[in-house]
Amino acid sequence: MDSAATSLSPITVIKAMDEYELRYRANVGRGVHRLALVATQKYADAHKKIASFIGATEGQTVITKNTTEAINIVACGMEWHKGDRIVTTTLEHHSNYLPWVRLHEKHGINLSVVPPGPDGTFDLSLFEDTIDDATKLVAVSHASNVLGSVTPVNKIAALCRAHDSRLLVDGAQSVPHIPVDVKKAGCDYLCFSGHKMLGPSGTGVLWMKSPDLSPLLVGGGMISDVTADHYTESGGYMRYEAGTPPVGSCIGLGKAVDYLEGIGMDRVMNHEQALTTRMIDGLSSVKGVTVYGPPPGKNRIGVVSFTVKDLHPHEVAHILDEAAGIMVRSGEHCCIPLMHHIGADNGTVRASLHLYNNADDVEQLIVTVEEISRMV
Amino acid sequence: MYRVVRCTREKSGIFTESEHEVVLEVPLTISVNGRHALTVMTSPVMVRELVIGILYTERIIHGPDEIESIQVEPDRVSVLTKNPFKILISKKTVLSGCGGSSSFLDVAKLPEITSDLVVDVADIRTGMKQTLQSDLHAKTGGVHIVGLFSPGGVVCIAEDIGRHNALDRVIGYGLLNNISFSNTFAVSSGRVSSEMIRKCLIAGIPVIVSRSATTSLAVEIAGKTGLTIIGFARSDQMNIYTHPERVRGSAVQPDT
Repeated sequence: MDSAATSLSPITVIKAMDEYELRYRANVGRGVHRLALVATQKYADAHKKIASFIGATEGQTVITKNTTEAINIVACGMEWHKGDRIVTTTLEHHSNYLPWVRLHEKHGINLSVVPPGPDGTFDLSLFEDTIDDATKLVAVSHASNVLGSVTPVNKIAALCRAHDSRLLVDGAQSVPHIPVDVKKAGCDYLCFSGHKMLGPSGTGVLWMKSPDLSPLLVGGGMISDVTADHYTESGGYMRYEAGTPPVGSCIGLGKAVDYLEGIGMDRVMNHEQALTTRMIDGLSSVKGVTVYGPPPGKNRIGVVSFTVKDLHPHEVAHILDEAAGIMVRSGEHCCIPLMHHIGADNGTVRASLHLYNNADDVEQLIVTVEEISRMV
Repeated sequence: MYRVVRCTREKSGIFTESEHEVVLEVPLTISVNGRHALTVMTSPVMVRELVIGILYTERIIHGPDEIESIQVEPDRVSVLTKNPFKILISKKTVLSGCGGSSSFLDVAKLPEITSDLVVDVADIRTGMKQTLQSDLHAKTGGVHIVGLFSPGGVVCIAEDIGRHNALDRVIGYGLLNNISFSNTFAVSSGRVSSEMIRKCLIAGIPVIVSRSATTSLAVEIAGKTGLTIIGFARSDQMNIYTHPERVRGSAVQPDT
């Protein structure tokens, strides 16, 4: 129950990567030999599948190492001037927070941080009051990796449009679990992780509505011409993927997309929501347990944070593993500002689901937490 | 599909500077699983349909299900099959002009037609009329047109500089749209050669109609494999060369 950290891959993903490694491993976009052409086409096809998965009919879909890298490409690729404003929230993972703090510290960018309510949901009027004409970028999580709350990014997108601000959506926790469509979201940048959506580790994605960022890296594979003192950048995703990319992993991620689409993201969401409802109901009824985040329902994902009175979250996580083989995350979840905001200074225990979890897993968790609570 | 070019016109011994529409002709290289499969000179439209049709009638693939992806670029198409390591070699030998691409013909290896389709003369005439209604042909005088029809009406009409490509294109369309070829007939603006017959047999199209002529080899193969060839189909006449039983009312009137 630690899928918010990373997920497990189905065998089709592993086989696709095996096939690449064992039978047609070649670099992409460079050679003219047969294997290079097969690898290049498979690699390009994976981009198309990923783009289609998030409803992207335009823009560029770039393969990155993870969500963090995708967000940093945006932070480093935009042109900043002193006095520009960035609006973000207290809900954010450090990966969607530190890049903005760094811009604030290094370039004098004004940083405004919108606080959520205790359950992670927002009063949208706070965004309305904060986003102004100086706001160049609004960066928000689509779904919280601690509280499971889903943010109505399309409403924030409307505010951004009114002020000509760009919107970055951190989809690390939403894209793997609920249907996400960049057109409906109305964002300019969507960043997410391949490894959280049944793909291999070392894969992330940056979708950008228009290729308006300066590339983070320059080098092989991203140019159309080079002279002694000048280079011309190529078009397409290649412009943002200097150097040899993780070819096999990206092809594997394409297979993960096939797998998720084969099941249907609505079904994935409904399955996880049903389990989440039971998990929250069960944990809430245990004496001494505090459950964080919004109540069960449509507007949350299967990430449930809780604490057990008088026990450190690491202790609870350790016992869950030792006693019942249940693996959960504990601590601050890369969200130290949020932990202080919700008053969980030692952090929380976080159980997070994916499509392969079932009702037995949830019952086992509830029963074991009950036992742990009686130990105190 | 066409371009206006300069030309010098002669009429009654007088030469004038003029311009005229000419149909586009481009080389299209088709590679399958990273290997060059073939290059066709073609008109750059309905590229997916053309490629699937050619790969199917060349028996490089057995159906569109075998294809994992088709990447279309201006002068090349890259096809990946689901098994990219399958050896895919077309038994290509160039036999005649007019499209330039033909495959080795071995009648014993060609499928026979199994279809109980019977076509009305009126449907054949309507099909021919619909097929020949081409603005591009009126403008350029330089395209071949092939139509695929079911008794219910038109399935697809395609144009190309070559009739073989046009036929491959309607076959590709049929494959992509799950058309049952055994219930269709093809109509061509151009000559029905053995190559046209081979393509119909592989797809399972039981009748081919042409506004123009056929050839001895085409008639020979069609006779053996059960395919109906109709040539010189005009407003009030047609020649049925093989298997006339597929045309309703085709029993020959006895001499009086």
